[in-house]
Amino acid sequence: MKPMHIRFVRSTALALVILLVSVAQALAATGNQGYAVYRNGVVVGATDQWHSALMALPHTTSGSLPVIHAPGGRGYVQYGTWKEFIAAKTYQGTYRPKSAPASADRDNFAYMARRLVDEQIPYSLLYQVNYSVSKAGKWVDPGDITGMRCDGVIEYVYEWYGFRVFGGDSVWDVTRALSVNKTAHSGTAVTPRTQAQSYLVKVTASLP
Amino acid sequence: MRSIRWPLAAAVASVAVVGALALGFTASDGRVFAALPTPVPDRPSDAELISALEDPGGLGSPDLLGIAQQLWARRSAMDRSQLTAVLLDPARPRVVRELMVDLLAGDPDRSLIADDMRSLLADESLDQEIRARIISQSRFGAADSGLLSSLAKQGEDRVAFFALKQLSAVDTRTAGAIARETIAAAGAASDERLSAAYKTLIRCGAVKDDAPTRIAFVAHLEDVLNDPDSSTALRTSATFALADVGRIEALRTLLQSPAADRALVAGAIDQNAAVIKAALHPDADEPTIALAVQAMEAHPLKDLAGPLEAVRKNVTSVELTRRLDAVMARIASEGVMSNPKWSQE
Repeated sequence: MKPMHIRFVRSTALALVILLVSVAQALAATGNQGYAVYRNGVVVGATDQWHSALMALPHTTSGSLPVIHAPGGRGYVQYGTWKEFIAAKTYQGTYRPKSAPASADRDNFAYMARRLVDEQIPYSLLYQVNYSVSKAGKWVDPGDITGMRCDGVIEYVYEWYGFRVFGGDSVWDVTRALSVNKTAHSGTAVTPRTQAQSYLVKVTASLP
Repeated sequence: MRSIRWPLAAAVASVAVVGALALGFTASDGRVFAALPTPVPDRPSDAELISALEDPGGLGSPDLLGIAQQLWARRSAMDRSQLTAVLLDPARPRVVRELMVDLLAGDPDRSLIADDMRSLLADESLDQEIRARIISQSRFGAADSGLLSSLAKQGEDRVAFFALKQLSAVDTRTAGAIARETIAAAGAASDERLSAAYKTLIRCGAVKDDAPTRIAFVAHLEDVLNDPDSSTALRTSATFALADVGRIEALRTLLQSPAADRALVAGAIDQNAAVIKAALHPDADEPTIALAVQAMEAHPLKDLAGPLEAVRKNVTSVELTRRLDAVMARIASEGVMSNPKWSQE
């Protein structure tokens, strides 16, 4: 049995630790955080195929950089102002995965989107998510990605956490490091517009 | 020109029709189709396709992506000097120059970087964004360690960022050494270089394998996090690095930092779910349990309910017991499963 003064010091220290860590802020995504937003104005062939972004903040008015997107011609997956995202085109709605994510899931989406920014991922025209299959492990980690398209940001973020978006039963997960999965998410197999209209659910037509 | 345009327009229209049919078929039922179009006869020349990247009107109504797909399909047979000339022209749109890089780099799963691309990396008159893209899109071999080391140390920040990341794949030891040097001289390093160093130190295994390195690294990240003069970008990189360490002490540092971005803490908890579970062994002490409770208060995970319940008997504090009960109720009502991908290789 340890001496009483030692037990006192230890229990006091523990109480202090518990007190210090008791001020835990319950975190939960609010507003439209973690949802996907779309606008028109990107013509592929004869069809406007839209541009996509992920809401990093609850609303467009929550801060100066409410979205994360991969804008072609401007380098990397990056934060953006609402004006930069819209680029004088027309907003097309806010969308979510068909399987409704919980608030905690949307926290995860925002986390991953910010990781993509931190990795400075270049824009990719041909692949939603580009990477070297031989260098990746079982999953395509954020650090494995060598290029991303705007719809790839949405596809990757949602599917990393198991929320299926586009693709057949055996190839839908773009985060699975396989050539067939990577190719299935390339070219015009899926576009931001088809991604939103066929594989996601519209949350609201109002500005987020 | 008129005599050339008519058959070209017909060829492009054929490709557009095939592409449109394929797009409609795929979009409606989600079936996969090959990303690359079937070659058509009387196709435009390479030069005409490259011109069309910026002048859709010259070839009927092609689109950037459609043209890019055609160029990708024929990249192996293309005249590289033609692509390089466009890449080097600062007057061309960035997206076009970047596509040239991609065509010249080819498929990194099939071939190493070519000598002409290595030469471009040595050309400091070529803007850093293009050189950075060459690095990020190419595959390097062990023989490129010297080249990448040089770029990681002496190149511009953006070039150095990608060079160090690539170096960590071909020469782990050298990359780790450069990362350590960068962090040791953090006051003189740019945020971009530090961010690359954090990622490299994690990926080269030094943090996982060596306790003194890990302890020093976590201490550095804590300093960055708590320094009011740290930029938001660097704090964010430091947060992700703490999450990537994959140890309970790193997670504790993050959770207990008053300056941590609370919006990132939730994702970091999910990423470290396996670490928390492992810490909740039968002999887990109260500070560890308190940390797990704090984590669940921030981001409730269903698969942590069982391990937490199993160590309830180790808790003597009335306050901690109360919080444990509250968090179990929150997990039951709002919890989600953690993502196993984080801990799978």
